[in-house]
Amino acid sequence: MTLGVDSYREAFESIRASLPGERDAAFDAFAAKGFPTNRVEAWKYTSLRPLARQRFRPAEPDMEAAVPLLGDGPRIVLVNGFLREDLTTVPVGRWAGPNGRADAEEEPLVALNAAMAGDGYVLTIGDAWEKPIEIVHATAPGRTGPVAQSRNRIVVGPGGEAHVVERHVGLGSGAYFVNGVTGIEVAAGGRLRHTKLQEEGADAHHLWFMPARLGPDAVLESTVFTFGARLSRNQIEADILGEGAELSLKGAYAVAGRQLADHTSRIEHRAAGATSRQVYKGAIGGQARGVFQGHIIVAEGAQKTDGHQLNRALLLSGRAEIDAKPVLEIYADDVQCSHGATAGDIDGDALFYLRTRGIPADTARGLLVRAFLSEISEELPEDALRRAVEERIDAFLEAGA
Amino acid sequence: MSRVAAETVEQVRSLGDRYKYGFVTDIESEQAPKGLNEDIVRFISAIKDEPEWLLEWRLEAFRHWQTMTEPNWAKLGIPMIDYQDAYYYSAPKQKEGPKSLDEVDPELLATYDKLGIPLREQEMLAGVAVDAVFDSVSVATTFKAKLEEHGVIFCPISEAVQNHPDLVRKYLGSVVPYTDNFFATLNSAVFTDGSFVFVPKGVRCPMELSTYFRINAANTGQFERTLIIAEDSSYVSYLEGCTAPMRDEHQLHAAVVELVALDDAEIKYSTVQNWYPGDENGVGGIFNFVTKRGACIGARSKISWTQVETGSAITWKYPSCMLHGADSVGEFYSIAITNNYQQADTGTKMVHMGPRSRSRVISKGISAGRASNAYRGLVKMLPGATSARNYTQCDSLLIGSKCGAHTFPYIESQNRSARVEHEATTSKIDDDQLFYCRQRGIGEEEAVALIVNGFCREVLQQLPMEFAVEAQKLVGISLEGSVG
Repeated sequence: MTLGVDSYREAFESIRASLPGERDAAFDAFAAKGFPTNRVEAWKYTSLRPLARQRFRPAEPDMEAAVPLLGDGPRIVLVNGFLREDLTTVPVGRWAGPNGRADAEEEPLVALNAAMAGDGYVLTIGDAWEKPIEIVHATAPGRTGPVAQSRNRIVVGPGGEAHVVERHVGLGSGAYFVNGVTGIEVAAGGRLRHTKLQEEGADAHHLWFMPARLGPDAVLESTVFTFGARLSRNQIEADILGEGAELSLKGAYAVAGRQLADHTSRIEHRAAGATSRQVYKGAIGGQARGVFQGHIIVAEGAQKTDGHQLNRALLLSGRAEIDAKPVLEIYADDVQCSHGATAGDIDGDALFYLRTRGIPADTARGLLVRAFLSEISEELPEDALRRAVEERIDAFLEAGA
Repeated sequence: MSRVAAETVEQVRSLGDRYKYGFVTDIESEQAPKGLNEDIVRFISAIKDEPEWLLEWRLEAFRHWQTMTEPNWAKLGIPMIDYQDAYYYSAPKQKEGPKSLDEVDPELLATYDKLGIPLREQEMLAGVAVDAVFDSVSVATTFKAKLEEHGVIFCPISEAVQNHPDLVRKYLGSVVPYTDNFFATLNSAVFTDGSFVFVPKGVRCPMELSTYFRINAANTGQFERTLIIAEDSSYVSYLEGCTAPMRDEHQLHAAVVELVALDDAEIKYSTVQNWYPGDENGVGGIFNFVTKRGACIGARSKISWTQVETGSAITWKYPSCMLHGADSVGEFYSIAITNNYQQADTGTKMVHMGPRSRSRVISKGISAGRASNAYRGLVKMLPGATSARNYTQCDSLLIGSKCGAHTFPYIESQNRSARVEHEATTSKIDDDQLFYCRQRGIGEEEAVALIVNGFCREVLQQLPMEFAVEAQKLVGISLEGSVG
């Protein structure tokens, strides 16, 4: 029996008439598999069973809601998965639905998004942008939990260069479900820095899929900060298609209570001479769980590949848990690939050192957790953004994780 | 150049032939009819004159097996295996059990000579007791008297069933239950023989125990069952090595090894596996689906697995440690070499339950030709594993652009005070090292053998001396034809 299909079929039927494009094939692709269960290897550690059992109504546009912004630079704002033209200052295209062909997506949830997404931005970067582009995905829980699904694309042309900051926020308290896609294409010689800040509400479920393609000498640096949501998964699938491309994926997360933060990445080196770097660091408190699945594939012929991956987790409470699966799958011989993973509590020696200097244990722990996560956050070029991240880390520590 | 490496080069040079163990002994076999059903299980049990409880256990396993399907999660392309198209029992024809080597079929003894297991010589020189398994029945056991003196029981498991039924009944299936997995369940139903070792309290086994397994007779699956029990404060080192004749038809091998270590006990289990890997076109070769698991039940107990896997067309094997005891230790040292069309999916599981339990995993995978070599491992820290520690290192070496090397580690920690560290690297043979060797007049193939031996050094060092030499030879032989 497939999980969650019936309630989504009902939701899909209720909005199909209003959706642009051909949707049935995509919905069928979802319905064939349903929500993945733990028996699916890629979802071994993250159970969607409770989410699939919950009923959500398709989110509707909200043209009134106020949206908190980080800065006053160029921006794109979406509420409940729909573009707010009144708040958007950057010229963008709109997603017009699946392009006729059956979107036989392998991931059923991506297929569900293709079937039900009502909107999404298409951002084209043809030249160099000086200021970061802020993109806000806000969701209002309302009285009945909505499912917000948007399908977005960032296209960086040759010579294009920008820093895009995608923020995910909840407007008010309550349960909701976000199932989104941001596709990224960086053409030959293009450069994109992409920062994602996930601050969804405490009762939210956040699943975000990011397929990325890199051309020759393209540079993509994508960094994710995960703080919010009851359950979240940030899934990146990057295909390196051009020689000399550089990919860097980073992540920092701090979760507590009963949160689950899942970071899944798959990098496929299909061209020679490219490099990829991954560093994911997490602080896990309460009864929270961290999940890391990193997968580097080096295809036959992708010689001179340089791929490295590191995952480190701090377990801050007796009931915290980390599950990591760093996979290397290599079909070319002239490569340098590695991965490393560690899990454990704060280093006792470092803690002792600080305490001998008269720093109270709690403060010392806080300092060490901050230092641990700052390896990722200190690289943020914008002060406002870095401060926003640091505030979240402080809040996490103050809550006594 | 170190002395060990020099020896290796010497040995590699001296071994001109590809697979010197490819021959078939012509001995009339006593076989059960082809196929697998309850009658065959009863037949095996009856021919071994087993007690009722063991037959029941086998039948339960067989019934359970019928409800199971073959696992398909490993990174292996496994051809369809027709379990009904094989013989599940075959024994060298003999009227009575041999009392000494003189009673053993001379043809069998000649076979062992070709394999390099000179029983008599070993009896005198090496001080190693050999329980040689030829197909399914143990043929000769040496040094029994000396072991008995120390109270060590070392005998075929079929004999242990007769003479020490209480021990067998207590521990058989205690580490690998008959429901464990498809191949272990099959083994539980049809196992024919294997070794049984019992080391009593406080005894340090006076010699290395070694068994040579050998597959013979066409279309015979071999299903060994090994059970080793080390009581409080005892120590035993067990060596297992195997070679098989060259054949064109796939042969299935599904063994189960169970180790039990009580308080302060230590078991060291070493394997050199050199079964027929198939020819350079991927025709023939052994399918090796093995379940090996040790339980560190006692406090401060230790189980150490060392394996050198160079043979078999397909290897599916995960020697594991269940670390129940406080301060218990699990170790896994592995070299897996695949060449031509060989496939290996091997690794370990370290499950930490006891406080301060420690584990160490060192895995070296070498892939050449069109082979596929995967490390698959699990390190799990359960809530009780306070202050437990794990260190894992898996390195892969690729030789040639058509092979694959993969790493699939699973790391699960539910205890904040437990520390897990995992490192893995994949690379090819360093051009500079190769150039250096070539410049000194060392042929390319020898140079590769030399460098690979260096790459595997940490693991080779773990092997008992007599096996370390053999293993070094194997490393060179297995990679022949992979360069140039």
